[in-house]
Amino acid sequence: MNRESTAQSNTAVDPRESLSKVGSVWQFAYHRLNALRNNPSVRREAIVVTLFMVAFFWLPALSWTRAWLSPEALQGYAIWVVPLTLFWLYLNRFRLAVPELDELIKRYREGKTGLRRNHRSGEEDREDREMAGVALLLKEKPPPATHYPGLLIGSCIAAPIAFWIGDPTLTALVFVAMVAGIVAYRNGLVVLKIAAFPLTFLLLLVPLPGLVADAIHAFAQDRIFSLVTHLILNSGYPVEQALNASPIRFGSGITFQIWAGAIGAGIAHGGFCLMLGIWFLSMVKAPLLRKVIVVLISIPWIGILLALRIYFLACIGLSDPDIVAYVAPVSLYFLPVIALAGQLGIQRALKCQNYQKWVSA
Amino acid sequence: MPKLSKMGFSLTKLIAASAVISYAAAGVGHARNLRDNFEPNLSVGDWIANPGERPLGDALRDQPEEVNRIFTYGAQPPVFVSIARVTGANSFRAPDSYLLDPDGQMLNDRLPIRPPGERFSHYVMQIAQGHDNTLLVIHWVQAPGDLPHAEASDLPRKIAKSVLLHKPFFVCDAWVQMRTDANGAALRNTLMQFADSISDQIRHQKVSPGSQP
Repeated sequence: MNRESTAQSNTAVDPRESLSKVGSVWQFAYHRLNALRNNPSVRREAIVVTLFMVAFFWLPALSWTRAWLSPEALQGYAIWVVPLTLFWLYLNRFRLAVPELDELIKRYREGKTGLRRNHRSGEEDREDREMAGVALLLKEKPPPATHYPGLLIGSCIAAPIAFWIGDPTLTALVFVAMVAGIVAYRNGLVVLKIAAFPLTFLLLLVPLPGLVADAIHAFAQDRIFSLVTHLILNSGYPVEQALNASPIRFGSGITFQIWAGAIGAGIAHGGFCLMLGIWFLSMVKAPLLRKVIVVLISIPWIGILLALRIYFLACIGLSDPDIVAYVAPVSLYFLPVIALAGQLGIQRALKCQNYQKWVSA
Repeated sequence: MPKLSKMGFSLTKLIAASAVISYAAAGVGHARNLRDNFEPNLSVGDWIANPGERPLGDALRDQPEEVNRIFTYGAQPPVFVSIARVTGANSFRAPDSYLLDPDGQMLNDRLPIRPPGERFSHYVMQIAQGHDNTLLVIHWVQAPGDLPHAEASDLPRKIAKSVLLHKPFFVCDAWVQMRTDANGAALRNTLMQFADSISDQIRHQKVSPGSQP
């Protein structure tokens, strides 16, 4: 936030006037972003392309939404994918405004910029390299982006085939490919590389084929309900589990059953928490391996939480089965809050808490 | 009035052209899906057909073109029939996912029905249990002019053809609700009667030229 206010105080400065007046790569990014925003041609193109894409995919989007929101659908989280992707783009807008920075830093490292290298280490050195990058940006015209039309043309050819077949999975894949194709064609492969995370994240909105979704759902539900059965048995209640995990029946004269579909196994909610965790980690400054470990720890954490929820519902149901019908849907809303709090704890424990430099609200 | 850049103009032209062709393809594909759909006879033996509703979880198989009937005969439990046209991979989900509530599941006692002298099963009979009811289901897939098959996986080429070329191919289910006082053997015979009758009708269905499997 401070960076932006500093940048705003310098809005009167023309970044091409002199390096000393611009001051930092942040201000350069700010100026370039502003120039893009204020360019009527860019604005018009963005609006026209967005409208065309909406008109193109609104009908398939209805079938995707139907797949996401059907009862006990595995992919209930997918409804949040587009808003989260747009928010990611907003938070990383400064980095996206200076896509050539990495290339410039590489050129500086290789001594091709004509600037004297400063051999200090750490963050100071990084600043130096970025400044050198800005200097180069100001001295020279930015290198022209390598436009890559292949992906866009490929997706434009695949779209009629997907529409002809009418399968939601195919149309959603074409949509993601076309968005990536537009970025590659219009902004070049460098921007495509920087936007790799949001574009990959968009794949989460692709409706899974029914057979795959059923297999994942059955596996997850079986594991959760087996864990609940063990918990209940260890609490001293006689229970039996049906062949396909649900329902759990309480024996010895207690006529109470827990059905996965009736109370909601919460798998879609768990998926949402995991998705949000991955989205957050993409903006955190940490080695990739550590981020992967955080995700791998988060999966059992969410699974245990889902099992505990059903266990507590079972405990409540044993004393008053009627209350479960009211508590079950409410508890699903609390679930993401607790799950996300736990995930934040895991991230903190593994030192994944500092945002990357370019993330700015 | 600011104009689009040259690249922006070519980009929008490409997207617009693809959109127009895609919607034309979708329209033709949909029209082909409406063609040669199966309409069962109004009666099967003494059983009389009445209009039925779509199965509960039809959204899970992308709401295909289908015909749903409820056959009644005196005080007998009604027989429900659903014949859905294959429109994509989701059409081949297990019957418990679309016939029952989200708790629906197939019990493991599968009864494949293979007529003597045939190499493959024609139908599969199974008990499907949901939260509120239990069904005895007979399930098969079939293309017009062809014999019924219990397993869709036996016919990968025909399925690929039907999905890619919108040729008629049907996923068929007939079921009865099981009550505690139900006569299992009688229900099985009734469902077999329906399966034989409907599969025979599909086998002799006339289709447009170019729609043959």
